[in-house]
Amino acid sequence: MLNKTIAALLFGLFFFSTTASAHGGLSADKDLCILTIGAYKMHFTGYQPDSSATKEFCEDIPSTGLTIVAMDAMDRKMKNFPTEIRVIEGEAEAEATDANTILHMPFKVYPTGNISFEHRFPKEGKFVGIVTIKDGDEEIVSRFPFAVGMGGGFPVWILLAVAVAVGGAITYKKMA
Amino acid sequence: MKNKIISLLGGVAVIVTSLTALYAPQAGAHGERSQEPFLRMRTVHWYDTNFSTNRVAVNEEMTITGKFLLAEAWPEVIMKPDVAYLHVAEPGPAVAKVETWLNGVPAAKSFKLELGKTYEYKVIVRGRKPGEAHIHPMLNVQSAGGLVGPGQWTLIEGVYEDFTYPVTTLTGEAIDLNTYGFANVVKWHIIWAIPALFWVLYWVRRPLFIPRFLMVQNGEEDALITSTDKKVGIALLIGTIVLVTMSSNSAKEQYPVQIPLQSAIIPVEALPVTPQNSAVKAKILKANYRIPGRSMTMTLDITNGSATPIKLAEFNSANVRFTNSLIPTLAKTDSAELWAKDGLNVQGEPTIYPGETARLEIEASDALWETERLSSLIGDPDSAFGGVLYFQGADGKTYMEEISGPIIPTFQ
Repeated sequence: MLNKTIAALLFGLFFFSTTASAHGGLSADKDLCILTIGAYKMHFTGYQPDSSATKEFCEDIPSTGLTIVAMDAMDRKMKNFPTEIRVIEGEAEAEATDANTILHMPFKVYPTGNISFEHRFPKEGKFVGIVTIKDGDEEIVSRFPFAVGMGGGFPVWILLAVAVAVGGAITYKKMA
Repeated sequence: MKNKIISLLGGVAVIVTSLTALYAPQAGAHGERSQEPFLRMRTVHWYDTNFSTNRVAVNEEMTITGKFLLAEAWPEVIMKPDVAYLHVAEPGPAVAKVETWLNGVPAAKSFKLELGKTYEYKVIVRGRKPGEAHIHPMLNVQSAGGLVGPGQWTLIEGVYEDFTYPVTTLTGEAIDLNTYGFANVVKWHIIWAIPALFWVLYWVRRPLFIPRFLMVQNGEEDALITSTDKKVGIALLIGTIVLVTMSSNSAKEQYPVQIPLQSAIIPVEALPVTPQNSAVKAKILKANYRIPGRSMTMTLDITNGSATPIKLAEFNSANVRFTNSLIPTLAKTDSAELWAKDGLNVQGEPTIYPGETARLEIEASDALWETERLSSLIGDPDSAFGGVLYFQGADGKTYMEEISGPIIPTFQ
């Protein structure tokens, strides 16, 4: 009965998926990557054209090298808001200083609603993206920690291979 | 040993089935955005869309009017609109369709439409379910699906219980279509569910799927179907035939005047060719989509065959409007959500005189490329785009030209 249960649980793993994995203000919502800034939302898309062409990523950056980030306003009002972008090196709670800032785009209005920037990450590490918008007199800040070149989630193909191997072994043992 | 394997597989099946019951993925649809870009950019170009109101009471009517141009660049991978049907796209039956018209012809049936031609439509809907609903005109094309036009958030006020849909039948009987025949539908569903449920339960208690397959493999198939099974099967077959005959007779008795389901396809003449939809010609020399900037750039040769000077005012693709802020006369008529105001930048001599061919460099930029999920055209196997250019004439008229062609994505 134990073998049956193990086999069933392994097989059942394939039916599970997680869609909401929050990274501060950044989260995967359905098939979109959303950056939440107070009551406002932006699409967040990352590209690494040198290594993965037009493949999009959200949250963690798969490898070092040239990275292009595009953020697109989902709310028309945001097109009028001055927006500042900062990327700092450090853990999620790190405070921004000149020393740990690796990219800074001062406040500017983006009338098309698209903010894009590129940066070449020379080494692996942990970083924090900080997006600040000015909605009238109010400044709204969104922080999203991310990692570069430190691997993504557990690869599904490994789960598949383990499940097939264990299932096959159990069946073989029972039939032998 | 065989029984043990069968038992093992049965146990696995039961537990896995139980586990899958816990699996509840999120629905990934985003309305019209869920459609691939080629379906939205290269099929139906909707324009002049107008909703008579954005607020209706239950039972009150709203009229949607406009025109659409069927793209000559219709994708090869989907069926042409030889069987098309005009409808509305909405989240459930928030409104009930009352009338549809295509070029002045009642559009209750399907149509055969021609690519490259323009049609004018009118859809009248009646408020049904209170709430706020995003409502679009939609052209259903056989084997291609629903091709959705610009939408509008519409507030439907009142109480659902007040909704009625009165019609008079051919025999003069006044009925409410919203409730007509409902009890009959429920009754016959229950009647048919009884033998269906019996048949499913009868076989579910027996070995299923893999155990059944293994028994057949082992030459034990005779044990799977008994003589009682055969008797039950024959009884059910006879019962089904009797039930079908009885129900058919009952329907004929209750409804002596019947018309068959309508399947005619009506040919509709397109709107005539006029200078407004034929005088201006565009030839695309180059088109790129800059991924980080959400920006499409095109180099085009525009030939003005009209009798008046023209200026490029708008590029429209997939219901997203990129307008030229230097031409303030262009009115906003479609959905506010999909309007990239000042999103069109034109380089080159802005005025094109009659008989002249001018080269224009245009740039259509806005976050809408991404938020409307049009950026994913870079992943399409044919990497092609489509849209319509609108030109403002010095005579006050709007001239249009469909464009389409290959597009190369770039990070530069």
